[in-house]
Order: sequence, then structure tokens, then C-alpha cells
Amino acid sequence: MQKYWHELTKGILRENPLFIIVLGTCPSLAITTKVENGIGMGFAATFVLVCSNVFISLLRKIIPKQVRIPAFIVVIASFVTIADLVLHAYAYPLWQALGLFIPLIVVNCIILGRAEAFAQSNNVFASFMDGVGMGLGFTLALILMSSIREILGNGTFLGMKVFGEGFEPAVMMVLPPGGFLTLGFLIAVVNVINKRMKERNT
Amino acid sequence: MNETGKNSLRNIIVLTAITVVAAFALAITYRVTEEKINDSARLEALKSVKAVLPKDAKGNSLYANEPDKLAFEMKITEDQKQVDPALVFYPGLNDKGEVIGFAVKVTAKIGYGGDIQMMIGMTPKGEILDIQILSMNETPGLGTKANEPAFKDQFKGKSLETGAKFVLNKDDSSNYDLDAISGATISSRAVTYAVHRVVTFYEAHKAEIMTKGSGNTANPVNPALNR
Repeated sequence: MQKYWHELTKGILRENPLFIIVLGTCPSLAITTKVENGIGMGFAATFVLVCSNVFISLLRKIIPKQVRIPAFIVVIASFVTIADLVLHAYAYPLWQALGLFIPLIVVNCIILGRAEAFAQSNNVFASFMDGVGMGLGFTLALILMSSIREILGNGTFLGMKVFGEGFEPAVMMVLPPGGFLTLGFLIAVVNVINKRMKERNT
Repeated sequence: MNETGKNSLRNIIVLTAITVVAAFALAITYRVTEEKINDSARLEALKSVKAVLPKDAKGNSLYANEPDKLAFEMKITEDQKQVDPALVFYPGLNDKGEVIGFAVKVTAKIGYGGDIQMMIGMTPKGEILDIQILSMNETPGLGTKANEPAFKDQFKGKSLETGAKFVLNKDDSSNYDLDAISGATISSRAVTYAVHRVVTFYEAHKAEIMTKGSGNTANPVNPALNR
């Protein structure tokens, strides 16, 4: 049981996909201008990640090594298309906001990365936990990043004003440079925290 | 069959099986969501149509028809680059069947981040009622202010008939009637030009648009004779 708990929690801080493994940075930089987008993208990617991890783990003994990459891509692309259609049908405003980034989940390296590095060599339950953990870690990272950018760059949090009238938002934070700055600082902070935790443990 | 041949055959079978299963799963999801997707696109379009068509003092819509059922497209024929030539008109009719206003969908091509799609509401006289931005890629916090009342409300009540010019202060500082958003001149210009295009087009083709909008054509053509 301990092992599965480890697979679930490692994605949040120790092996955070965005801050430590540094995968999936392209969609992260692009959509984190609003907290709402961060939450939507995070959960959509988590859904795809969990489904693809479980399926690839189930099929791990059937898929021959030579054709594993095309097989993974087919599985992932199918789940992304399903997520795209379902969001389009039942969450239209969110679908509009995420726009191009839903199809882009297909090439989000986190998902292919987890399939290749974890799901193809671990059992179904461990892969499921890994998917949930990595998905949660990615979602939390996106929420953190988009909160910083939305608050500083637009003066709002989830669309609500957080500052008085006198606050002049730093528009740069919601523009591409702000994305790089935020990501850089967060990677630094998370690495420092991880280092401290490791030192304390030894 | 030798070892390599067996391996290739296995690869082919497994990959084919996976793609067939995936295709079935996608076909089923598509079937289930198809209707809902069409509905949500239609409702979304209707929502913006509703927002720009005439309302009474309490904010209730005054039209009694389904504007998208009567919608028709017209093309700007003159050569120009500012807006997409295809305009979609959504007529609003009262319970007597008289046209009380139009919602016009137009796409400005000269935004800072590309196309700006908007819905413009106007009375049969060509007076602007309201503007709704449907989609845009303008700079957040600057160009996106085009969808805020501070800018949009300047258009309300303006018409060519009453002498409105639809000119921005940035384009002609001595003879203007609209203020551009500070820091977003290009976005303001894209919206203003699109509105101007629509009202001038309407002014030039008023009679035709009015007959099309009321649902009858002036010269009904017998489809049997028109082969």
C-alpha cells in the first residue's frame, strides 16, 4: 500500500511534472493567463493522463516493443478527442477558453512521458495512482502559476477584483514574458523546497 | 515463417486492433455528443443575438421570432481589407411580424491578434443598439477592453442618419466622435471600422435587407419556374 501512496504523492512536489521534470511547459506558459483556464486545462489533462495510463498499463503485455509509440499515440489521441467532444458538448464556455490547447494535450509530453516511463512497466493500479498524482501535480502547478499571473497581471482572482481601485495591474504578467518569469521563479522555489526536505531527511 | 516475419505480423495485428477499437470509441462519443454540440453552438449564437436586439426598459427582449431561423448572409462586394465580406443578418421581428431590429455578425480582419468576431445590434433605421464581441485574440488587459462598456457604449445610439461619423480620435483629432482605448489603438480601430462598414452597407442595401428580414421576398420566384 505504501508503494501506491508514494506513486500518488510523488507528482505533487518531489517529481512535479511541470517544476521538476519540466514537461508540458508549452501549454502551461500559454494558458495560465487566467485561473479558470488553469483549472480547466489541469483537469482535462488529468483525465487524459489517468485514462491513457490505465489503458497502456492494461495493454502493456500485448503491445510489441517496436510499435509501442504509435500505439500510445493512438490511445492518447482517442482520449483527447473524447475529452474535446465532451467539453464541447457540456462545458461550452470552458471549451472556447481552452481552444487549441485541448487538441494539444495529444503532444503534451507529460502524457507520453508517463506512458513510456511508468505505465508500460507497472501494474494497472500503480499506473492509475501515478496518473492521478501526476495529473494533480500538473493541475496544482497550473493553478499556482495562473493565480500569480492573473492577480499581478489583471488584478483579479477567478475574475473577482482583489485590489482596490488604485491598483494598476502589471499587464506584462499576462503576456508571454510574464509566463516565462513566473515559471522560472516557481521552478527555483520548488527546487529549494525539495533540497531542504532532502537535507532534513538525511 | 521466420522469427522476423512473425514479429512484423504481430505488430500489424496489434496496431490494427488498437486503431479499430479507438475508431469505434470515437464514433460512439461523436454520436452521443453531436446533437448537444450543435445545440450549444446555436444557443451561444442566439445569446449574443438576444443581447444586442432591442429590449424594453426592464431588459426583456422585444422580438417574438427565432432570429436564427430567418438569418441570411450578404456579401460586401466592394474591395476592402478591414472586414470579412460575409455579413450574417439575424432579424428580430415583433409579434405583428414587423422588423424591429437586426443583429449583424461581422468579422474584423485587422485586429492586433487577428480576427475579431462581433455581433452588432441596430434598429431598422440603422441606429446602433449594442455591440458584443464574440471572439478575439487581443492583448489581455489592453485590447480586450474593446468588450467593456467604457468603449462599446460610445457606439450606442449613433447612426449615419443622425450624422454620426464613426471616426476615432486617433484617426482624425479634429473631427472625431469616438475615443480609442488607450494603449489599444489597433483593436479600437478594428472594431470601429467593422461597425462603420456594417452601417454603411446597411444604408446602401436597406430595402433589400428589410424585405429579406421580414421573411418575404419582394419578387417571389416560383421554384418550379426557376429551373
